[in-house]
Amino acid sequence: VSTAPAGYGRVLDLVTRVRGVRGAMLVAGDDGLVVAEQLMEGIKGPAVAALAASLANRLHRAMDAAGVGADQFWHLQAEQGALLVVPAPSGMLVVAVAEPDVNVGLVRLEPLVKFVKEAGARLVLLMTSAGQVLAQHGFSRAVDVMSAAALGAAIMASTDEIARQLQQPPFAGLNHQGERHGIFLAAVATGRGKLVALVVYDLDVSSLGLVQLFFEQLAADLRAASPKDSVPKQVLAADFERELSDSLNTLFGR
Amino acid sequence: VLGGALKDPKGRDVTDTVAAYLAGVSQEAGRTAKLLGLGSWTGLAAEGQHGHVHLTPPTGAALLLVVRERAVPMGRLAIIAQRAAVAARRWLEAQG
Repeated sequence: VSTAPAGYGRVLDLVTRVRGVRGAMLVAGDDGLVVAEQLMEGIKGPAVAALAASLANRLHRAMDAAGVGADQFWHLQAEQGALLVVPAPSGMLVVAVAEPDVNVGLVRLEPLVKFVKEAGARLVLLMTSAGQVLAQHGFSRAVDVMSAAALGAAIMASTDEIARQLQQPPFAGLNHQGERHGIFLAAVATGRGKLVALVVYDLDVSSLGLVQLFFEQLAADLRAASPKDSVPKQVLAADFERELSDSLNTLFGR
Repeated sequence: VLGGALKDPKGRDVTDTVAAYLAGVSQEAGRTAKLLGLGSWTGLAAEGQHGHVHLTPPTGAALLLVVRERAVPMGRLAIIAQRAAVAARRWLEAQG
């Protein structure tokens, strides 16, 4: 049974390919809810997610008290199976349910660590300057995406206006640094207009310097992928009517 | 705490604090294994940033914790924990 969004599907594929793994899932560590899953029939995803998250929280507190630092991987061995968990910096847990004789080394070393390393940023959102979402990574609920996009676009608009009042060019980027997380907001000029990127990162696994470094690469990639400027054609009344009619037909199937 | 002690990297005694947390971990591990149809849990190994831990229930009512620095591989820690569990079982039986 697979309910994995495209981006997460690749990660879960890598885990479930290991012999002896009966299923893998991504779980929101805070509330124990399933984000994505690829499980064999008979495995109850919500139960695995809730129990793994609860055990992860208790284990995290115990390890913290013991002074061994945050858990990077744990493995619950039972008589008829095993639970393997990698806490990602984004707060998510990569959870695998496995046969008792699974090769823990393979599951632990190959795909899971790769995922954890790639997840340096907690949340990333790419939108137009009007707040229309183009792409996102790390959000588990659509409502959060919409709220973040609206707020991010509003912040950018406000700072652009401040720059205009100061008769300065627009600010290149904004950084809000909290106790544990940072928020980086910056614009990218592309061939099809300005895009805005919102990045939330954990201060213990990343930094503003790192985010800026990789943001420059992201901006270059976006500019390269953006369609080139086309010559705007003259809008005729007849064309407008026809295009509007075609659009309505497409929308409502008339 | 039935026996043993644990100090954190700064040398502070954290035996009782960790034991209090481990009671919850043990209960949760047992519940997780049972509800997921995995049978009884036999061990819980975890890698931390500064060290590795291994938990084993040598008897139904006791929990054994082994903590070592990161330089000790997890597989070796599991062997140490198994041997410690055997010793702990004998010790508990001897206590009556």
